[in-house]
Amino acid sequence: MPVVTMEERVRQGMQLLEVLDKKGMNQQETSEAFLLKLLRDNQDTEYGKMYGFADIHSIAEYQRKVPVTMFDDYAGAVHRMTENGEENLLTAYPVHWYARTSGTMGNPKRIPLSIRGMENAYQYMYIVYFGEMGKHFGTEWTKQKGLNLLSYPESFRILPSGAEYGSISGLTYYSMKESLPILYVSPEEAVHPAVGVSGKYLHALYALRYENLSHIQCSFFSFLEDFFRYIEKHQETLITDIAEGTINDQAGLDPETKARLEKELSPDPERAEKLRKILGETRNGFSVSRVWPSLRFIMGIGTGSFQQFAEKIRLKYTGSDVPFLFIGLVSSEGVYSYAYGLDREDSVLVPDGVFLEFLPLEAENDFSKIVTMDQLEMGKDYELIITNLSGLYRYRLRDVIRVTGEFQGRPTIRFMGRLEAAVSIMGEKTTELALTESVRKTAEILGLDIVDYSVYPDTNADPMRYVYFLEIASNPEDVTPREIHRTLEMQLALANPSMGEKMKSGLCGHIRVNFLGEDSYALYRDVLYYKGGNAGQVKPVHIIQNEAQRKFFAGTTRYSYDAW
Amino acid sequence: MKINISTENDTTTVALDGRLDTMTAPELEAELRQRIDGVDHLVFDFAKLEYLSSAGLRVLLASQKTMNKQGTMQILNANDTIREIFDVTGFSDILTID
Repeated sequence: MPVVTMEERVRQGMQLLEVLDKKGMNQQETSEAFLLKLLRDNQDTEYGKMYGFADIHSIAEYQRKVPVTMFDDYAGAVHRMTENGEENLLTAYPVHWYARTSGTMGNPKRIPLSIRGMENAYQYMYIVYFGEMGKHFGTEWTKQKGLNLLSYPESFRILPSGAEYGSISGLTYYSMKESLPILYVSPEEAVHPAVGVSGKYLHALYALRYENLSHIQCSFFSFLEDFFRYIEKHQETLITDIAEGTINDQAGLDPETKARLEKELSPDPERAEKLRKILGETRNGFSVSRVWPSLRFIMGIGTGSFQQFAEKIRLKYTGSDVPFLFIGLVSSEGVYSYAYGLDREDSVLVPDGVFLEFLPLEAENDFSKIVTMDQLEMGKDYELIITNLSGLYRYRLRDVIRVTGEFQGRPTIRFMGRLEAAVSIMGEKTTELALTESVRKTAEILGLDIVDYSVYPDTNADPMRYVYFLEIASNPEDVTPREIHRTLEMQLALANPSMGEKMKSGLCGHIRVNFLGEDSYALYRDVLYYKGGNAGQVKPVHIIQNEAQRKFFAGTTRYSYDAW
Repeated sequence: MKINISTENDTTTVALDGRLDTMTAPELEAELRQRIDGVDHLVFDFAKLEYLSSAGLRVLLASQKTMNKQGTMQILNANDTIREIFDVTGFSDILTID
């Protein structure tokens, strides 16, 4: 990829926004044209022939002839593509990369990514946001570097077909590799850390040294909150390094790399002193806008289950000084919406990122109820069904969105969670969002700083009940575990009245709260990284999915509370 | 917590006495940072270790990562409670526990 300056990205982004606005005026036509071209291009693939793509001339025909699918429907073809290098099975577009999904709800999959799909995602996942920033802040900020908390520790694998296989952040890394030094402050050793190297320490050191930081990009806001917390915890070492122009051994660099990087770092006692004052001012949090006075915005995924982290960042680090730009709904399979303004949790649908269909949540598996973009109803929840540029057709994404309004005549949406992301023991079905709400409100009412939480249904208890794990960083002295337990249970009942009724009637038991030791979630992430996971892909474990997770958090529990 | 570090031939032994938790983990981390460089065999003697928290586990994990590059690491004499913590947190698959 050629080196592209931030100013150029902003220019491209602003052009893209104009194009999107025009497409948005005729979104249904744009969407249908996108689908029909996709079908023409792929009519001679094995899948295209099987379902007669050549004879499909409308969305209605497509819906009649092509079935709704799950990943298992493609597993055989993907195996032939990745192991034997067979082409033209699912897509006519060249596929050189397979994204390893984070496996949020199951085993990681190999999602094909065609060149066309990747180009499309690059536009709608990145370029469009720089256009948005250009609209708000012009281009002056592009003269300074930003911080990109991209971290891609592992290397990609070469599959027998010759294609590459790795996480989507790896793809981002390789697509931006040449441009990284001119856009961002961190050295490559932070972005693509070798075994034993702390990318976080290096990101923190280089970012703190650079007073004129223009912006911060992160994959998830949970990662950013963890990063700010890390700065607080390691401020002494970081400040010493800045004052002396050194890199502490904590970074884990080998002597040769350390010496090479230190050669480029001059001692900066003045900056160190300034940071010492700012970071030392408060005991819990610090002022991001004082550390980086030129910081214009923070960009990342901060809605849905990440909303609580965005709120914590506001509370402890940014206040209202630094606007957030929440990236819209994206996944390895494609880009579905983009944010259209600062500090907005809603995003607007993209008419030609993928072809979108919507299954009303109450329809369950009645696919005759599927609607298109022009038939969406305000306030209603839908599961997304996508047809993408990489060989997935009418694919159930299992993501639920809610239609929240409109922007210039186009529907706006909000991510509500994964379809499976809910706890249910007596049919009460408490969604992840409801659980998050119960924890968020409890923290707000009692003044707690909750690092994160997890929940599982304890079906061995009599009566069955929910078990919460909470890691609390700090709480007022007069708040007791009993009070936390009672408030949390009340907030759960409010967030899901069905569960409230079941607890009241005795059908479900009172919740148990397990209070975790400090750093439990950090340890969980560390273990995942150690086992080859990727920092950019570790998502909150709000609903415990397996016995290994349950045992892990049970093992780091300090004490429990389960009675009124 | 008391930390006793001794070296014999190519083996460095770190004996811990007390609780390895949020309060004491940074101390152990700092000690190891100074002493771990160039060590071929690192042994943790947990005979007198009473308690191990998440913060302590993080230090062990970081040490294991370092030792993966330069030698071996072994945990000795962990009591049943600490062995159980290793089991439930999945550390039994990561560390060499004898």
